Amino acid sequence: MTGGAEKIASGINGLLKQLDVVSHNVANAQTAGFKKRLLTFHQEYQKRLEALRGDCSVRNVPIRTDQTVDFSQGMLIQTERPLDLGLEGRGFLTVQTSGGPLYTRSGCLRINELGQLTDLGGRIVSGDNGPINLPPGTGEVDLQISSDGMIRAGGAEMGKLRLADFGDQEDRLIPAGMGVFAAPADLRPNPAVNLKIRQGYQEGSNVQMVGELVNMVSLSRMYEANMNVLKRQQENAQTVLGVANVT
Amino acid sequence: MLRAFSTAATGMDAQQTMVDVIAHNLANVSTNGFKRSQVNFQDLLYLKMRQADREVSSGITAPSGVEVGSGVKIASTARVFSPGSMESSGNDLDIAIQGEGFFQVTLPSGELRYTRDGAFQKDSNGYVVTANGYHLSPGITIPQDAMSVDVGADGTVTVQTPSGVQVVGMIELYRFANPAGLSAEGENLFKETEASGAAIAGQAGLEGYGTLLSRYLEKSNVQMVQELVNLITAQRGYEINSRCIRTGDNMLQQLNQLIR
Repeated sequence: MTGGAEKIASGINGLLKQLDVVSHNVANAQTAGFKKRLLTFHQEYQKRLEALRGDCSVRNVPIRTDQTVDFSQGMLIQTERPLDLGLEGRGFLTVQTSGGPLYTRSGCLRINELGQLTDLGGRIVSGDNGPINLPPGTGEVDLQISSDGMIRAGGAEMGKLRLADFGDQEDRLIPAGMGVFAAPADLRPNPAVNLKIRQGYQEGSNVQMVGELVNMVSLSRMYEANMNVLKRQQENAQTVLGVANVT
Repeated sequence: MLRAFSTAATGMDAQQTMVDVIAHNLANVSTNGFKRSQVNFQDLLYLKMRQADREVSSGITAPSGVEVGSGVKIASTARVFSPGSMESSGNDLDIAIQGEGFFQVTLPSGELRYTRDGAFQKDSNGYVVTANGYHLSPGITIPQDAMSVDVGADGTVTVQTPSGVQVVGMIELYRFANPAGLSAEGENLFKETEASGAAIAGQAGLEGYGTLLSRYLEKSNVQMVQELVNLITAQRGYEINSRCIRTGDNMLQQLNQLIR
Protein backbone atom coordinates (compact mmCIF):
# COMPACT_ATOMS: atom_id res chain seq x y z
CA MET A 1 0.00 0.00 0.00
CA THR A 2 2.77 2.40 0.84
CA GLY A 3 4.43 1.63 -2.49
CA GLY A 4 1.29 2.68 -4.33
CA ALA A 5 1.11 5.90 -2.33
CA GLU A 6 4.70 6.74 -3.24
CA LYS A 7 3.94 6.33 -6.93
CA ILE A 8 0.78 8.45 -6.68
CA ALA A 9 2.75 11.10 -4.81
CA SER A 10 5.37 11.23 -7.55
CA GLY A 11 2.57 11.47 -10.09
CA ILE A 12 1.05 14.39 -8.17
CA ASN A 13 4.45 16.09 -7.96
CA GLY A 14 4.81 15.67 -11.70
CA LEU A 15 1.40 17.26 -12.27
CA LEU A 16 2.31 20.18 -10.03
CA LYS A 17 5.50 20.68 -12.06
CA GLN A 18 3.43 20.60 -15.23
CA LEU A 19 1.21 23.29 -13.75
CA ASP A 20 4.33 25.40 -13.16
CA VAL A 21 5.44 24.88 -16.75
CA VAL A 22 1.99 25.75 -18.13
CA SER A 23 1.78 28.91 -15.98
CA HIS A 24 5.30 29.96 -17.02
CA ASN A 25 4.45 29.48 -20.69
CA VAL A 26 1.12 31.29 -20.47
CA ALA A 27 2.71 34.19 -18.54
CA ASN A 28 5.27 34.53 -21.37
CA ALA A 29 2.80 34.29 -24.23
CA GLN A 30 3.72 37.84 -25.30
CA THR A 31 7.43 37.87 -24.47
CA ALA A 32 9.63 38.51 -27.51
CA GLY A 33 12.03 35.68 -28.25
CA PHE A 34 10.52 33.36 -25.60
CA LYS A 35 10.80 29.64 -26.24
CA LYS A 36 8.17 27.49 -24.55
CA ARG A 37 9.02 24.78 -22.06
CA LEU A 38 7.81 21.23 -22.45
CA LEU A 39 7.41 18.66 -19.69
CA THR A 40 7.59 14.95 -20.40
CA PHE A 41 6.53 12.28 -17.94
CA HIS A 42 8.29 8.95 -17.86
CA GLN A 43 9.07 6.16 -15.48
CA GLU A 44 12.42 5.76 -13.83
CA TYR A 45 13.71 2.93 -15.98
CA GLN A 46 16.95 2.55 -14.05
CA LYS A 47 15.16 2.01 -10.78
CA ARG A 48 12.77 -0.32 -12.54
CA LEU A 49 15.62 -2.56 -13.64
CA GLU A 50 17.02 -2.56 -10.12
CA ALA A 51 13.60 -3.42 -8.78
CA LEU A 52 13.42 -6.39 -11.17
CA ARG A 53 16.79 -7.67 -10.04
CA GLY A 54 16.09 -6.97 -6.37
CA ASP A 55 12.60 -7.26 -5.07
CA CYS A 56 9.70 -8.23 -7.31
CA SER A 57 7.39 -5.27 -6.81
CA VAL A 58 8.02 -3.42 -10.06
CA ARG A 59 5.10 -1.22 -9.12
CA ASN A 60 7.33 0.80 -6.78
CA VAL A 61 8.56 2.89 -9.66
CA PRO A 62 8.12 6.63 -9.22
CA ILE A 63 7.14 8.91 -12.06
CA ARG A 64 9.81 11.35 -13.26
CA THR A 65 9.47 14.53 -15.24
CA ASP A 66 11.96 16.17 -17.59
CA GLN A 67 11.74 19.78 -18.67
CA THR A 68 12.96 20.67 -22.16
CA VAL A 69 12.82 23.80 -24.26
CA ASP A 70 11.00 23.90 -27.59
CA PHE A 71 13.07 25.98 -30.00
CA SER A 72 10.51 26.21 -32.79
CA GLN A 73 10.26 29.51 -34.67
CA GLY A 74 7.92 32.21 -33.37
CA MET A 75 6.00 34.58 -35.66
CA LEU A 76 7.84 37.73 -36.72
CA ILE A 77 5.97 40.86 -35.64
CA GLN A 78 6.81 44.14 -37.30
CA THR A 79 7.64 46.93 -34.85
CA GLU A 80 9.68 49.21 -37.18
CA ARG A 81 12.12 49.99 -34.36
CA PRO A 82 15.58 49.95 -36.00
CA LEU A 83 17.18 48.04 -33.14
CA ASP A 84 14.51 45.32 -32.93
CA LEU A 85 16.00 42.27 -34.63
CA GLY A 86 13.76 39.32 -35.43
CA LEU A 87 15.64 36.04 -35.86
CA GLU A 88 14.36 33.79 -38.60
CA GLY A 89 15.80 30.29 -38.79
CA ARG A 90 18.01 28.27 -36.49
CA GLY A 91 20.61 30.00 -34.32
CA PHE A 92 21.17 32.56 -31.56
CA LEU A 93 22.68 35.97 -30.92
CA THR A 94 25.70 35.86 -28.61
CA VAL A 95 26.03 38.16 -25.61
CA GLN A 96 29.08 38.54 -23.41
CA THR A 97 28.95 38.33 -19.64
CA SER A 98 31.62 38.02 -16.98
CA GLY A 99 30.69 34.34 -16.73
CA GLY A 100 31.22 33.65 -20.41
CA PRO A 101 29.06 33.83 -23.54
CA LEU A 102 25.30 33.47 -23.32
CA TYR A 103 22.89 32.93 -26.20
CA THR A 104 19.52 34.52 -26.88
CA ARG A 105 16.74 34.68 -29.47
CA SER A 106 15.47 38.00 -28.18
CA GLY A 107 16.86 40.60 -30.56
CA CYS A 108 15.64 43.78 -28.82
CA LEU A 109 18.86 45.77 -28.59
CA ARG A 110 19.89 49.23 -27.44
CA ILE A 111 23.02 51.39 -27.49
CA ASN A 112 24.68 51.97 -24.11
CA GLU A 113 26.49 55.13 -22.94
CA LEU A 114 29.82 53.81 -24.31
CA GLY A 115 28.34 53.43 -27.79
CA GLN A 116 28.21 49.62 -27.65
CA LEU A 117 25.29 47.44 -28.69
CA THR A 118 23.67 45.76 -25.71
CA ASP A 119 20.55 43.70 -25.10
CA LEU A 120 17.73 44.89 -22.83
CA GLY A 121 19.51 43.48 -19.78
CA GLY A 122 22.61 45.56 -20.48
CA ARG A 123 24.73 42.61 -21.63
CA ILE A 124 27.08 43.46 -24.48
CA VAL A 125 26.24 41.87 -27.82
CA SER A 126 29.17 40.03 -29.40
CA GLY A 127 30.27 40.72 -32.91
CA ASP A 128 32.71 38.50 -34.79
CA ASN A 129 35.59 40.58 -33.38
CA GLY A 130 34.38 41.44 -29.90
CA PRO A 131 31.84 44.11 -28.88
CA ILE A 132 30.27 46.27 -31.60
CA ASN A 133 31.54 49.81 -30.96
CA LEU A 134 29.61 52.59 -32.62
CA PRO A 135 31.02 56.09 -33.19
CA PRO A 136 29.78 58.65 -30.63
CA GLY A 137 26.53 60.26 -31.67
CA THR A 138 25.26 57.26 -33.68
CA GLY A 139 21.58 56.87 -33.06
CA GLU A 140 19.30 53.88 -33.61
CA VAL A 141 17.93 55.31 -36.84
CA ASP A 142 21.39 55.48 -38.42
CA LEU A 143 21.95 51.74 -38.27
CA GLN A 144 21.26 49.33 -41.11
CA ILE A 145 21.43 45.66 -40.23
CA SER A 146 21.30 43.22 -43.13
CA SER A 147 19.97 39.69 -43.01
CA ASP A 148 23.44 38.18 -42.50
CA GLY A 149 24.00 40.24 -39.36
CA MET A 150 26.29 42.92 -40.83
CA ILE A 151 25.79 46.31 -39.13
CA ARG A 152 26.34 49.44 -41.17
CA ALA A 153 26.09 53.08 -40.08
CA GLY A 154 25.77 55.44 -43.04
CA GLY A 155 27.34 52.89 -45.38
CA ALA A 156 30.41 52.13 -43.21
CA GLU A 157 30.67 48.62 -41.78
CA MET A 158 30.63 48.59 -37.98
CA GLY A 159 30.89 44.87 -37.45
CA LYS A 160 29.02 41.63 -37.94
CA LEU A 161 26.89 40.02 -35.25
CA ARG A 162 28.20 36.71 -33.97
CA LEU A 163 25.47 34.19 -34.73
CA ALA A 164 25.74 30.83 -33.00
CA ASP A 165 24.24 27.54 -34.19
CA PHE A 166 24.19 24.46 -31.99
CA GLY A 167 22.70 22.10 -34.56
CA ASP A 168 21.01 19.12 -32.97
CA GLN A 169 22.73 19.79 -29.62
CA GLU A 170 20.23 22.61 -28.99
CA ASP A 171 18.44 20.55 -26.35
CA ARG A 172 21.52 20.74 -24.11
CA LEU A 173 21.13 24.50 -23.66
CA ILE A 174 20.07 25.57 -20.18
CA PRO A 175 17.66 28.51 -19.70
CA ALA A 176 19.46 31.10 -17.58
CA GLY A 177 16.56 33.52 -17.10
CA MET A 178 15.92 36.93 -18.73
CA GLY A 179 15.68 35.36 -22.18
CA VAL A 180 19.20 33.96 -22.37
CA PHE A 181 20.50 30.40 -22.55
CA ALA A 182 23.79 29.05 -21.25
CA ALA A 183 25.72 26.28 -22.96
CA PRO A 184 27.43 23.52 -20.96
CA ALA A 185 31.23 23.90 -20.87
CA ASP A 186 31.88 21.25 -23.49
CA LEU A 187 29.36 22.57 -26.02
CA ARG A 188 30.76 24.97 -28.63
CA PRO A 189 28.56 26.55 -31.29
CA ASN A 190 29.24 26.77 -35.01
CA PRO A 191 28.64 29.96 -37.01
CA ALA A 192 24.99 30.00 -38.00
CA VAL A 193 24.25 29.58 -41.71
CA ASN A 194 20.48 29.12 -41.66
CA LEU A 195 19.73 32.29 -39.72
CA LYS A 196 18.39 35.55 -41.13
CA ILE A 197 18.25 38.79 -39.13
CA ARG A 198 15.17 40.90 -39.83
CA GLN A 199 15.59 44.52 -38.77
CA GLY A 200 12.42 46.17 -37.50
CA TYR A 201 10.82 42.91 -36.40
CA GLN A 202 10.50 41.04 -33.12
CA GLU A 203 10.27 37.25 -32.92
CA GLY A 204 7.07 36.57 -30.96
CA SER A 205 6.74 33.91 -28.31
CA ASN A 206 6.20 30.38 -29.68
CA VAL A 207 3.66 29.53 -26.96
CA GLN A 208 0.45 27.99 -28.32
CA MET A 209 -2.36 29.12 -26.04
CA VAL A 210 -4.70 26.32 -27.14
CA GLY A 211 -2.13 23.63 -26.27
CA GLU A 212 -1.33 25.17 -22.88
CA LEU A 213 -4.97 25.55 -21.86
CA VAL A 214 -5.81 22.01 -22.97
CA ASN A 215 -2.87 20.81 -20.84
CA MET A 216 -4.27 22.82 -17.95
CA VAL A 217 -7.71 21.23 -18.31
CA SER A 218 -6.41 17.66 -18.49
CA LEU A 219 -3.85 18.12 -15.73
CA SER A 220 -6.41 19.49 -13.28
CA ARG A 221 -8.63 16.46 -13.93
CA MET A 222 -5.68 14.08 -13.57
CA TYR A 223 -4.72 15.83 -10.34
CA GLU A 224 -8.23 15.35 -9.02
CA ALA A 225 -8.22 11.69 -10.05
CA ASN A 226 -4.84 11.09 -8.37
CA MET A 227 -5.98 12.80 -5.18
CA ASN A 228 -9.15 10.71 -5.10
CA VAL A 229 -7.17 7.49 -5.49
CA LEU A 230 -4.85 8.58 -2.69
CA LYS A 231 -7.81 9.36 -0.47
CA ARG A 232 -9.35 5.97 -1.15
CA GLN A 233 -6.07 4.25 -0.41
CA GLN A 234 -5.93 6.07 2.90
CA GLU A 235 -9.51 5.06 3.71
CA ASN A 236 -8.74 1.44 2.83
CA ALA A 237 -5.68 1.47 5.04
CA GLN A 238 -7.75 2.93 7.87
CA THR A 239 -10.40 0.23 7.41
CA VAL A 240 -7.79 -2.51 7.67
CA LEU A 241 -6.28 -0.95 10.77
CA GLY A 242 -9.76 -0.45 12.20
CA VAL A 243 -10.37 -4.19 12.06
CA ALA A 244 -7.42 -4.78 14.37
CA ASN A 245 -8.64 -2.04 16.71
CA VAL A 246 -11.42 -3.20 18.99
CA THR A 247 -12.61 0.32 20.04
CA MET B 1 -11.46 11.36 -23.10
CA LEU B 2 -7.95 12.63 -23.11
CA ARG B 3 -7.56 11.78 -26.79
CA ALA B 4 -10.53 14.03 -27.47
CA PHE B 5 -8.59 16.89 -25.87
CA SER B 6 -5.64 16.67 -28.22
CA THR B 7 -7.91 16.05 -31.21
CA ALA B 8 -10.01 19.12 -30.41
CA ALA B 9 -6.80 21.09 -29.81
CA THR B 10 -5.62 20.26 -33.34
CA GLY B 11 -9.00 21.50 -34.60
CA MET B 12 -8.64 24.76 -32.71
CA ASP B 13 -5.04 25.23 -33.89
CA ALA B 14 -6.08 24.62 -37.48
CA GLN B 15 -8.91 27.18 -37.30
CA GLN B 16 -6.54 29.63 -35.64
CA THR B 17 -4.08 29.26 -38.53
CA MET B 18 -7.01 29.68 -40.91
CA VAL B 19 -7.81 33.01 -39.27
CA ASP B 20 -4.11 33.98 -39.53
CA VAL B 21 -4.16 33.29 -43.27
CA ILE B 22 -7.45 35.16 -43.75
CA ALA B 23 -6.03 38.13 -41.83
CA HIS B 24 -2.97 38.15 -44.11
CA ASN B 25 -5.16 38.00 -47.22
CA LEU B 26 -7.39 40.82 -45.98
CA ALA B 27 -4.40 42.95 -44.95
CA ASN B 28 -3.18 42.69 -48.56
CA VAL B 29 -6.46 43.58 -50.22
CA SER B 30 -4.80 46.64 -51.83
CA THR B 31 -1.37 45.20 -52.59
CA ASN B 32 -0.34 45.21 -56.25
CA GLY B 33 0.14 41.78 -57.74
CA PHE B 34 -0.81 40.01 -54.46
CA LYS B 35 -2.01 36.42 -54.77
CA ARG B 36 -4.19 35.12 -51.95
CA SER B 37 -3.46 31.96 -50.00
CA GLN B 38 -5.98 29.20 -49.51
CA VAL B 39 -5.71 26.75 -46.64
CA ASN B 40 -6.12 23.02 -47.34
CA PHE B 41 -6.82 20.69 -44.43
CA GLN B 42 -6.08 17.00 -44.06
CA ASP B 43 -7.15 14.45 -41.47
CA LEU B 44 -4.55 12.92 -39.17
CA LEU B 45 -3.61 9.29 -38.54
CA TYR B 46 -6.27 6.84 -37.48
CA LEU B 47 -5.93 4.47 -34.53
CA LYS B 48 -7.13 1.12 -35.84
CA MET B 49 -8.75 -0.54 -32.90
CA ARG B 50 -10.19 -3.30 -35.04
CA GLN B 51 -9.29 -4.06 -38.67
CA ALA B 52 -12.13 -3.91 -41.18
CA ASP B 53 -11.25 -7.14 -42.95
CA ARG B 54 -10.50 -9.34 -39.97
CA GLU B 55 -11.92 -12.83 -39.80
CA VAL B 56 -14.85 -13.07 -37.41
CA SER B 57 -15.12 -16.84 -37.70
CA SER B 58 -13.94 -19.27 -40.34
CA GLY B 59 -14.55 -17.78 -43.76
CA ILE B 60 -16.54 -14.79 -42.52
CA THR B 61 -14.87 -11.36 -42.53
CA ALA B 62 -16.20 -8.32 -40.77
CA PRO B 63 -17.64 -5.67 -43.12
CA SER B 64 -16.24 -2.72 -41.20
CA GLY B 65 -13.74 -1.99 -38.48
CA VAL B 66 -13.19 0.49 -35.70
CA GLU B 67 -10.95 3.43 -36.58
CA VAL B 68 -10.65 6.58 -34.53
CA GLY B 69 -8.90 9.57 -36.07
CA SER B 70 -6.65 11.98 -34.23
CA GLY B 71 -7.63 15.35 -35.63
CA VAL B 72 -6.71 17.68 -38.41
CA LYS B 73 -3.62 19.27 -39.80
CA ILE B 74 -2.96 21.91 -42.41
CA ALA B 75 -1.80 20.13 -45.55
CA SER B 76 -0.83 23.24 -47.47
CA THR B 77 -1.45 26.94 -47.85
CA ALA B 78 -1.74 27.05 -51.61
CA ARG B 79 -1.44 30.33 -53.43
CA VAL B 80 -4.25 31.00 -55.87
CA PHE B 81 -2.88 32.54 -59.04
CA SER B 82 -6.17 33.84 -60.43
CA PRO B 83 -5.85 37.27 -62.03
CA GLY B 84 -6.42 40.39 -59.99
CA SER B 85 -8.41 43.34 -61.30
CA MET B 86 -6.71 45.89 -63.55
CA GLU B 87 -6.47 49.48 -62.37
CA SER B 88 -5.49 52.29 -64.69
CA SER B 89 -2.68 54.56 -63.53
CA GLY B 90 -0.87 57.50 -65.09
CA ASN B 91 2.68 56.17 -64.81
CA ASP B 92 4.56 55.22 -67.98
CA LEU B 93 6.35 52.39 -66.23
CA ASP B 94 3.32 50.79 -64.55
CA ILE B 95 2.81 47.46 -66.30
CA ALA B 96 0.14 44.81 -65.73
CA ILE B 97 0.44 41.24 -67.03
CA GLN B 98 -2.74 39.97 -68.66
CA GLY B 99 -2.41 36.21 -68.43
CA GLU B 100 0.45 33.99 -67.26
CA GLY B 101 3.98 34.99 -66.43
CA PHE B 102 6.11 36.90 -63.96
CA PHE B 103 8.60 39.74 -64.15
CA GLN B 104 12.12 38.83 -63.09
CA VAL B 105 14.07 41.12 -60.76
CA THR B 106 17.61 40.93 -59.41
CA LEU B 107 18.39 41.49 -55.75
CA PRO B 108 21.56 43.43 -54.78
CA SER B 109 23.07 40.06 -53.85
CA GLY B 110 22.60 38.86 -57.42
CA GLU B 111 19.80 36.39 -56.63
CA LEU B 112 16.76 36.30 -58.89
CA ARG B 113 13.20 36.85 -57.76
CA TYR B 114 9.86 36.90 -59.57
CA THR B 115 6.90 39.21 -59.18
CA ARG B 116 3.52 40.16 -60.61
CA ASP B 117 3.82 43.67 -59.17
CA GLY B 118 4.41 45.90 -62.18
CA ALA B 119 4.83 49.25 -60.43
CA PHE B 120 8.26 50.03 -61.85
CA GLN B 121 10.19 53.29 -61.63
CA LYS B 122 13.36 54.84 -63.02
CA ASP B 123 16.30 55.22 -60.65
CA SER B 124 18.92 57.99 -60.79
CA ASN B 125 20.96 56.07 -63.40
CA GLY B 126 17.96 55.42 -65.60
CA TYR B 127 17.66 51.72 -64.71
CA VAL B 128 14.14 50.32 -64.49
CA VAL B 129 13.68 49.26 -60.85
CA THR B 130 10.95 48.11 -58.44
CA ALA B 131 9.74 50.30 -55.57
CA ASN B 132 12.52 48.81 -53.40
CA GLY B 133 15.21 49.57 -55.93
CA TYR B 134 15.67 46.02 -57.26
CA HIS B 135 16.62 46.00 -60.94
CA LEU B 136 14.33 44.50 -63.55
CA SER B 137 16.18 41.64 -65.23
CA PRO B 138 17.31 41.54 -67.99
CA GLY B 139 18.05 45.19 -67.26
CA ILE B 140 16.58 48.09 -69.16
CA THR B 141 18.11 51.57 -69.09
CA ILE B 142 16.06 54.63 -69.95
CA PRO B 143 18.23 57.40 -71.45
CA GLN B 144 18.44 60.61 -69.40
CA ASP B 145 16.89 62.74 -72.11
CA ALA B 146 13.84 60.52 -72.63
CA MET B 147 10.60 62.48 -72.65
CA SER B 148 8.22 59.54 -72.45
CA VAL B 149 8.41 55.76 -72.27
CA ASP B 150 6.13 53.24 -73.95
CA VAL B 151 5.84 49.55 -73.21
CA GLY B 152 4.25 47.48 -75.96
CA ALA B 153 2.06 44.44 -75.41
CA ASP B 154 4.95 42.20 -76.45
CA GLY B 155 7.40 43.81 -74.05
CA THR B 156 9.20 46.22 -76.38
CA VAL B 157 10.25 49.37 -74.56
CA THR B 158 10.46 52.46 -76.74
CA VAL B 159 11.38 55.97 -75.65
CA GLN B 160 10.69 59.38 -77.14
CA THR B 161 13.85 61.46 -77.19
CA PRO B 162 14.48 64.85 -78.82
CA SER B 163 16.39 62.98 -81.52
CA GLY B 164 13.49 60.64 -82.30
CA VAL B 165 11.98 57.32 -81.23
CA GLN B 166 14.32 54.48 -80.18
CA VAL B 167 13.88 50.97 -78.82
CA VAL B 168 15.82 50.54 -75.56
CA GLY B 169 15.05 46.93 -74.73
CA MET B 170 12.60 44.11 -74.28
CA ILE B 171 10.82 43.09 -71.06
CA GLU B 172 10.74 39.30 -70.83
CA LEU B 173 8.22 37.21 -68.93
CA TYR B 174 9.04 34.02 -67.00
CA ARG B 175 6.79 31.00 -66.52
CA PHE B 176 6.89 28.04 -64.14
CA ALA B 177 5.57 24.49 -64.43
CA ASN B 178 4.00 24.85 -60.96
CA PRO B 179 3.57 28.49 -59.86
CA ALA B 180 1.94 27.34 -56.58
CA GLY B 181 5.31 25.87 -55.60
CA LEU B 182 7.01 29.28 -55.58
CA SER B 183 8.20 30.43 -52.19
CA ALA B 184 6.83 33.80 -51.03
CA GLU B 185 9.65 36.02 -49.79
CA GLY B 186 7.71 39.17 -48.89
CA GLU B 187 8.02 42.53 -50.71
CA ASN B 188 5.72 41.07 -53.40
CA LEU B 189 8.56 38.75 -54.51
CA PHE B 190 8.58 34.99 -55.14
CA LYS B 191 11.57 32.68 -55.22
CA GLU B 192 12.04 29.69 -57.50
CA THR B 193 12.06 26.32 -55.68
CA GLU B 194 12.38 22.68 -56.68
CA ALA B 195 8.59 22.37 -56.35
CA SER B 196 7.91 25.21 -58.76
CA GLY B 197 10.33 24.05 -61.44
CA ALA B 198 12.84 26.21 -63.29
CA ALA B 199 11.88 29.59 -64.71
CA ILE B 200 11.29 29.50 -68.46
CA ALA B 201 11.88 32.80 -70.20
CA GLY B 202 9.68 33.91 -73.05
CA GLN B 203 8.27 36.85 -74.93
CA ALA B 204 4.99 38.37 -73.85
CA GLY B 205 2.15 37.47 -76.16
CA LEU B 206 3.58 34.14 -77.31
CA GLU B 207 1.99 30.76 -76.54
CA GLY B 208 1.52 30.37 -72.79
CA TYR B 209 2.65 33.89 -71.86
CA GLY B 210 0.37 36.82 -71.08
CA THR B 211 0.49 40.22 -72.75
CA LEU B 212 1.68 43.41 -71.12
CA LEU B 213 -0.73 46.24 -70.49
CA SER B 214 1.06 49.55 -70.15
CA ARG B 215 -0.07 52.20 -67.63
CA TYR B 216 -2.14 49.66 -65.73
CA LEU B 217 -1.50 47.84 -62.47
CA GLU B 218 -2.74 44.38 -61.48
CA LYS B 219 -4.37 44.66 -58.06
CA SER B 220 -4.80 41.97 -55.40
CA ASN B 221 -6.95 38.92 -56.21
CA VAL B 222 -8.39 38.75 -52.67
CA GLN B 223 -12.19 38.26 -52.64
CA MET B 224 -13.49 40.07 -49.58
CA VAL B 225 -16.81 38.20 -49.43
CA GLN B 226 -15.12 34.78 -49.65
CA GLU B 227 -12.64 35.72 -46.93
CA LEU B 228 -15.40 36.95 -44.59
CA VAL B 229 -17.39 33.75 -45.12
CA ASN B 230 -14.27 31.72 -44.32
CA LEU B 231 -13.73 33.88 -41.24
CA ILE B 232 -17.21 33.10 -39.91
CA THR B 233 -16.72 29.38 -40.57
CA ALA B 234 -13.33 29.43 -38.81
CA GLN B 235 -14.77 31.19 -35.79
CA ARG B 236 -17.65 28.72 -35.45
CA GLY B 237 -15.29 25.80 -36.03
CA TYR B 238 -13.08 27.09 -33.21
CA GLU B 239 -16.10 27.44 -30.93
CA ILE B 240 -17.39 23.95 -31.66
CA ASN B 241 -13.97 22.40 -31.00
CA SER B 242 -13.72 24.19 -27.67
CA ARG B 243 -17.13 22.71 -26.89
CA CYS B 244 -15.60 19.23 -27.32
CA ILE B 245 -12.95 20.09 -24.77
CA ARG B 246 -15.51 21.39 -22.33
CA THR B 247 -17.62 18.24 -22.73
CA GLY B 248 -14.55 16.04 -22.22
CA ASP B 249 -13.77 18.03 -19.10
CA ASN B 250 -17.28 17.50 -17.76
CA MET B 251 -17.07 13.76 -18.41
CA LEU B 252 -13.79 13.53 -16.50
CA GLN B 253 -15.40 15.43 -13.66
CA GLN B 254 -18.19 12.83 -13.56
CA LEU B 255 -15.54 10.11 -13.52
CA ASN B 256 -13.75 11.70 -10.59
CA GLN B 257 -16.99 11.99 -8.68
CA LEU B 258 -17.36 8.22 -8.85
CA ILE B 259 -14.48 7.74 -6.45
CA ARG B 260 -14.98 10.86 -4.42
